Amino acid sequence: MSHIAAIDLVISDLPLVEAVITDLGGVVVDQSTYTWYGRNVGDSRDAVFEALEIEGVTRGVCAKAFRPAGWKPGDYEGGIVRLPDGTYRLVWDSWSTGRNLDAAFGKGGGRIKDHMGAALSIREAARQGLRARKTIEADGTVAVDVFVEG
Amino acid sequence: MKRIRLTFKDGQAQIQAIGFQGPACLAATKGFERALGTVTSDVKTAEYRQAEHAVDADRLSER
Repeated sequence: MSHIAAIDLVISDLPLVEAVITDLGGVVVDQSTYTWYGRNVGDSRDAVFEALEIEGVTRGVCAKAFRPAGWKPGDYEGGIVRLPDGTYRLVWDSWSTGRNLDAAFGKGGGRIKDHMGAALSIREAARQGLRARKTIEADGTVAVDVFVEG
Repeated sequence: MKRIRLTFKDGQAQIQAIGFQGPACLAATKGFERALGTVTSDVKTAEYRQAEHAVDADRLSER
């Protein structure tokens, strides 16, 4: 191999993220709030919310909310938060029933981002007229191989 | 066949260009990098440098 690049995935395609969450067994709901415990709960603190001075259950910030399979009223939800630069961030409270979100979607939404990245890669390959193949490895790594002629 | 391998694990993405000669790999991965987000590190491997040296040697022999 001739070079290796590491990339910070940016979420900018809301419909794509919704589709990935649904594929992972979640349910996306049209609401601008999401249920969690409060502002300063353990590892759920988030610089974005600190900066936006969000208190308690957020209102008017989420583009959408989402729930894992088996969600019941009162359980914590995830939020897809629109940032000032037009991109999105996935957030939830990882305590209590928020652990169900970790299990379904990976810590910090890692599984959502992984499958979103794969979908974006396949889309880019198609745009360039290249053949792509998606596989999931034993350790959960999502891989896309793009084949370049010549 | 040349191949671009993109891997995603725990929200972290990595792109590898395989079988490319020198700077051509940078051009091959650019569209994917742009589609995915922000490049945080980019490491050229020995294969990249060998190809680059070969190009330099060709240029010198032409003189």
